[in-house]
Amino acid sequence: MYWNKEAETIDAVSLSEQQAARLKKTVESLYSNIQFYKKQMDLAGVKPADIKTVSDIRKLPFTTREDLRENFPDGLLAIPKKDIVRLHTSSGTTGKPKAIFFSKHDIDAASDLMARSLYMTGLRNTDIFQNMMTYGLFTGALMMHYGAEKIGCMVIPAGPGNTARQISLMQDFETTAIHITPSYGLYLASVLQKQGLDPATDLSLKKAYVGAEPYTEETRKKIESLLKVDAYNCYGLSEMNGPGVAFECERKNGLHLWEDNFLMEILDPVTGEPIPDGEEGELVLTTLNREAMPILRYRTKDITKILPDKCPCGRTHRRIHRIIGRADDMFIVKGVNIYPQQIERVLMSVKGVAENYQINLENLDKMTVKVEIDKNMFDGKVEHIVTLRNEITERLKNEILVKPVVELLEPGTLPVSEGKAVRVIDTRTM
Amino acid sequence: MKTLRQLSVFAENKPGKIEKITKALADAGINILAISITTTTEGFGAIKFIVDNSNLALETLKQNGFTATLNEVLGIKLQDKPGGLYFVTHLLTKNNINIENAHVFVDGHREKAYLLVEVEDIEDVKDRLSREGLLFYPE
Repeated sequence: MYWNKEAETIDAVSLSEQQAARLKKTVESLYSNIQFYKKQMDLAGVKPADIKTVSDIRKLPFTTREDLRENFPDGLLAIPKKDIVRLHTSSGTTGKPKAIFFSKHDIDAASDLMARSLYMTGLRNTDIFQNMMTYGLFTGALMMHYGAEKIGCMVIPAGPGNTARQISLMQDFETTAIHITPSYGLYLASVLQKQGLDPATDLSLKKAYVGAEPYTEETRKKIESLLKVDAYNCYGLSEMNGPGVAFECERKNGLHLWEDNFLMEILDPVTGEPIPDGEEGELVLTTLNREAMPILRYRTKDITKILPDKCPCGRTHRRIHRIIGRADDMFIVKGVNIYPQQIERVLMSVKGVAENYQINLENLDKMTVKVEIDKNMFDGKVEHIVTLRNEITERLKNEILVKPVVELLEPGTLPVSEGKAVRVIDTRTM
Repeated sequence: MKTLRQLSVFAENKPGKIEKITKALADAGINILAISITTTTEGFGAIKFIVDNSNLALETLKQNGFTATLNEVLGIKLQDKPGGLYFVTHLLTKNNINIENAHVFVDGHREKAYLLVEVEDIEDVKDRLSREGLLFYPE
């Protein structure tokens, strides 16, 4: 049941020793090879020799995505260019992209983690793995591909789109596992339905690895019931190899973060101070097993929390909660940290409202959530709308601990923004 | 026409809302026979109409981006004399019938008036009230 039993069930003391040794090695390499880190560490007054244990991580400087952009294209390389075998970039919606370099060792290590992750969910060499992600500069498709191949699966590098072909590939080659984005997963299910195909009898699917876009537990359940699969959540980011940083085991209750390869901290996104296990904060990651481009204390901006209980699967690597929100989007009302994603989750789970919403913040911390009703929910009875509004208010209060004013609007009232929607309008003045 | 259909439009409480709705209906040549407005303290409400062509009215409003629906109401004939409304409401109370919404509608010939009531089970209410001798729209 383990890909690498020793690594996956390592005891806390041994893990800590291994992390300390790898951290030391990483810091030595980046201090002597990367100008940027040497400068940052000198400014912080810390030398590689000061790093002896894992807790010494706190002496080290952070790395932000801006640092990655400023050092674009190759300012953060720790090894000679001739030893680089792969370049990936992470798309930047603003300005320059981020470049991520891999050595042979790095690709092998990332593939191994990916194999470990997939094996953990029960994927075996008898499985047929159809990869519906975009192959290219994006790390997602290739790393998953390598992991599945390493296990010994037959991999079908289908790429995304062309749904008719996806379906015939799945039928002809009896695909048992797919790697897919949540939105495409739902679309695929709707096409199958239109064609009168029942995944339970007409396909051989068993597992879906769903990622690359944030999604809710409701969406997972929907994908599972529509495609008749077990759907697993994965977490990763290009800056940290791509997918396979953390992955769900068969229990589907939190994602094991591979702590032998990444040093995990959960910090207050504003102060940078550590947050106790079980409480929400920003995930900050340090690579422990990367040659070409080691990264110190990377501010992922992803908000999660550590699930402190031991996982019954026997793996000792701690689990993180599915990503709760983005640190950039957080706002504070009446002293409570709130993420738009929390609001979205509630709205998505309520019947009778459409997808578009807006959060307005006014002086004295007055919070108004505006949401459009679903055209089809209006039956002429105002009482039903009042009930809906009360239900939303109550559920929002349970989720965010603050009671907002909920305004129900006619469909089409809120502006539809292209790309990233502006969800929070804060007009508070101090 | 066996039943009386009421057009309900969801509306936020904003100036100009009724004007826009009635303009759309006017442009489509629809005659409004009765109107009632229900508002809530939550900033929205429903505007309800009885019109001469409810299907066309619904289609028109939907095309103009309004959120509208048709629902059945019961039209109870009112006697044109003092105490006429009391006579009906008394029978409603006697039969323990709860009214969710009500307004008055004068029929196309401007001769008869009806109390329009929204109730949960129209057929049941109609049955009970007809035993009391009440008449309904259409007669």
